[in-house]
Amino acid sequence: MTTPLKIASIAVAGTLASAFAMASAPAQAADDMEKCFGIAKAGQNDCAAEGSNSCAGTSKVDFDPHGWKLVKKGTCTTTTVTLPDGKARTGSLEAIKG
Amino acid sequence: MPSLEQNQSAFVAALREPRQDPPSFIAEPTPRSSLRRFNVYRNNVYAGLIGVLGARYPAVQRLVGDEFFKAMARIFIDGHPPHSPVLIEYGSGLAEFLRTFEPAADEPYLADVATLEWRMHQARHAADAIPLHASHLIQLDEGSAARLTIRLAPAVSLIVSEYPVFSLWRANASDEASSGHQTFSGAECVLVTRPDLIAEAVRIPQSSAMLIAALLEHKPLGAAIGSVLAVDPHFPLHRTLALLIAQKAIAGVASQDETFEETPS
Amino acid sequence: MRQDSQIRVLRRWSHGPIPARAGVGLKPEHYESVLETLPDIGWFEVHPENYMGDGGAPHFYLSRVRARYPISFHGVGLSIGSAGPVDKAHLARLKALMARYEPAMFSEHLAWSTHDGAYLNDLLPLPYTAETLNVVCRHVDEVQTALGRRMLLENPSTYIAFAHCELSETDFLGEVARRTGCGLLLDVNNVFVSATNNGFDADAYIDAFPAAHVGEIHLGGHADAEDDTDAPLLIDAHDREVKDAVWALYRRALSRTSAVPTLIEWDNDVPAWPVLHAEARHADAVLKENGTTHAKP
Repeated sequence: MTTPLKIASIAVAGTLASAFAMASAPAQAADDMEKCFGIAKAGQNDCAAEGSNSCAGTSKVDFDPHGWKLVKKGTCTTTTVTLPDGKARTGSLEAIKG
Repeated sequence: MPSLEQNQSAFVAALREPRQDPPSFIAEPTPRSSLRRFNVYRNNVYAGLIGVLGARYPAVQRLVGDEFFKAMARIFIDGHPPHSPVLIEYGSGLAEFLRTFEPAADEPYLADVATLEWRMHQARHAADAIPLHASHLIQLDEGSAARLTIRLAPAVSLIVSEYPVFSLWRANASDEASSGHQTFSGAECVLVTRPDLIAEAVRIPQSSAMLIAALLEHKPLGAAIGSVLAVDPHFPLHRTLALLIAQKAIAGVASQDETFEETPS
Repeated sequence: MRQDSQIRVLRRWSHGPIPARAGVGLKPEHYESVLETLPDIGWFEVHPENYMGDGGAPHFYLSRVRARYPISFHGVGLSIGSAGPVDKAHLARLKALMARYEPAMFSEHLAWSTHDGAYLNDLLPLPYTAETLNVVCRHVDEVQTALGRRMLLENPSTYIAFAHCELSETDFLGEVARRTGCGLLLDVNNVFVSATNNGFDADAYIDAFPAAHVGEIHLGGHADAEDDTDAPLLIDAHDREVKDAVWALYRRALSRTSAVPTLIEWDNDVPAWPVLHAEARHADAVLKENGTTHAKP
């Protein structure tokens, strides 16, 4: 009787060599695999886009004493997502001063 | 005169409650001039941390819009302040927070996009690994190969989502990424790796994700492959292993017989 | 496996002191420019907290920069002025990072930034009282003992002052230096910002500063705002060139200190490398001019 493990071990032995060969060949386009590099602000290495410790203060005001109400935006901006239940959602939400 | 502890407790309470007056022990150079001065500290604390979260979650920020993101971040920061002065470690809880954040309840995919962004951030700072040279794998006979346990690099992680998380992230991760209105649907799985210095995400088939999940659980290669074949006999085994090698995701292998890993020379 | 072998190979770096010339804060935006052009600059300073990840680009670049230049660690996370204890775990991470990169100087701030285990991400002000002095001295002593080295303590930018103060900031810093043996980092931009915000005389502050303890000077740009009464309110934003008034104050400081390493801090709206390098050359020119005029060692 051939166990799944036996099948697997045969598959593995043949696979490792060909996997290596494929990995060293130029990248092939495949519909089911798609690669994207990390954070890509134009001309920047992605290490530059880090939020990091600093000893500086800031003059950009992100502080608001009155707080916000968070509501859905009436109109969609750039992205629509069709959920598994078939309903469509737009990404953008709105904050209004509360 | 308050003690130093009383001074700092009152200072922190006033930082966190923007409607509260600055602490009374602050000297006022001129009457009523201290509010905007004290607000510099409030702003530094919040603007700084909101900036950290924005740099860490650019796709979430673009998906919800700047104003919503800032307001949401304020609420997140109050409930989840940093507990270490190392801000590299800050923001891990945003995905969990989003799952129960009522104003974003209609956008259930946001949490998975946040998870992908956090994993990319972790990958950027993960410990370095020297990828295993494939020649070590080719030397193995069938039996040894099946018993191998593959050790994946510290930067490697997997996101399995019922939403089009990769497409959403890619379309929103930078200002340049998005072009016009786009519609996405379907479930997506993503492999995160850091082949050299830059973290990368690869959308992969669900069966490939099953194999990688089994390897992340340290299952022997044969058993891992067997478990996926039982579900999907035609799954792209060769290409999944080739992808792991190409993405420098394999940091070492161990078997009952021998252990292979690159040793620094 | 960590690439420690690579680090070992690179460890042919200098163990000498930071030269008495200008350096700049090392920003990720400039990693590539610096390594490609190897500019003529005295040294670089980094926040150690930004290199406390396990691996990746920050360590890759810092180890390469360190192989070619002296560096200084300028901490932002020890919260020397906290009423509570020093974070021992953070201190241990700092010590490990120092063993790895061997910075020629280490400095921290006369400020606090943690409370009840939460990190507040800003350098918050202290009332200069006898109690605060005891707390700061105890913490500086603990840090110097744990790290096995002398540290420098920096005067902060402040936006408010406290009604009950028993010492001036300069007397406070002088007393900390005397009791603990630590050195001082004189941030001239901070002096200008705090003087404007709190209505004291910047020249008089420089003249009263315990100059003999100064081991480093900081320069940076600040932003202009107004308080509720339309009085000037300066923000220590490190987001532009050093202003003329701060250069003038720098000359005044140098007339009292020896020629000391001087850092340009530019952390927000970071410019292209040549702009930052030009600021450093400006500081070098002032240092040189001062050396000629005052014949400092």
